Amino acid sequence: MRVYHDSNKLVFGQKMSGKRGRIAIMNDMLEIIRNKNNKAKPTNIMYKANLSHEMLIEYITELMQKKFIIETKDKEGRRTYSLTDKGYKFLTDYKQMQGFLASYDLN
Amino acid sequence: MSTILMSPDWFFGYDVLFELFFFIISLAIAFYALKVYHATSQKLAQYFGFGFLLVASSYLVQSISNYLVYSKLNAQICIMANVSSVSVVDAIGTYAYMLLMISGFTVLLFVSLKSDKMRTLWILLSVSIIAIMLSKNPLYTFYLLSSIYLAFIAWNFVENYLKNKQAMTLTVALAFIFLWFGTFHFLISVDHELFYVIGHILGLCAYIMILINWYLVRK
Repeated sequence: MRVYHDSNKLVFGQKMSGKRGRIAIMNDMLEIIRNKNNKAKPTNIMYKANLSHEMLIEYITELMQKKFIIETKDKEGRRTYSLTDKGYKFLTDYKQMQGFLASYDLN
Repeated sequence: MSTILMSPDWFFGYDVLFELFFFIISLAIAFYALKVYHATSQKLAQYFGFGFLLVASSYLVQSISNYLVYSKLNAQICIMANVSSVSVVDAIGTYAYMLLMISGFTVLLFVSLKSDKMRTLWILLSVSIIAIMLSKNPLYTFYLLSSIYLAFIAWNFVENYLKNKQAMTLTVALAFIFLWFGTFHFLISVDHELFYVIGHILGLCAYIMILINWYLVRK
């Protein structure tokens, strides 16, 4: 079986969906968190966004560096992620950014 | 050597206004592209932003340079800068405009080529700058190179439109076709003043298309 990095879903070595751009993956992850009443577990995000574990770590790290999400731990040490104001703004701006990138073929 | 030498008398001053308008639009595009890069880490957006920043800077330099010639402030600048003649100030302005603009177009060409090798960019930049600096007619060489680069850039955007048939991609393709056509007119305006005016009008059409695209993106 072949393993695809980035966002391609692995099913018996075949690509299930087309490759998403970076911005699309970030948007998907933020939408998942928003739709989970702004409190999503890593596994929720991983399965719903169709990411490998490595990709999840990479994108979570980037989203936290950009201050789009914050991480909280409960008493048992379980992590959840929530959107910041910047994260909400990114979701609003996403469509415009997508339009800009598509217009100038920057994807 | 100033671009003003190609302009008919009645167009004096209007070209400065055109160039300021082009500067404002290019700067807005550059800042937005860099904002998109900051949010998404999309490298192409960063290069695109830098390309338009160079183009914007060149328009600013050109408008200031032309304004200095019209207002005859050149002579006072010479006294302040302790420079021997007005033509030196003109030459500095024209060379700065050419080098900034060709650098901007080179970066935009690099973006359209989708190459991941920075060597490609450095080669294109080196060859372009050396060709202009060593040419006996730098302005002609500059417009010739710009026309060639813009032709390839426009081609890329036309292909993008044919792949994604939307109003947004169409406006960008038209903008760069107008830009290419305008630059080509500057090339032949070296001996024909009217083409200098036509070149500016085509540039205006290009930037209006970019404004329309901006409106469609923000809608």
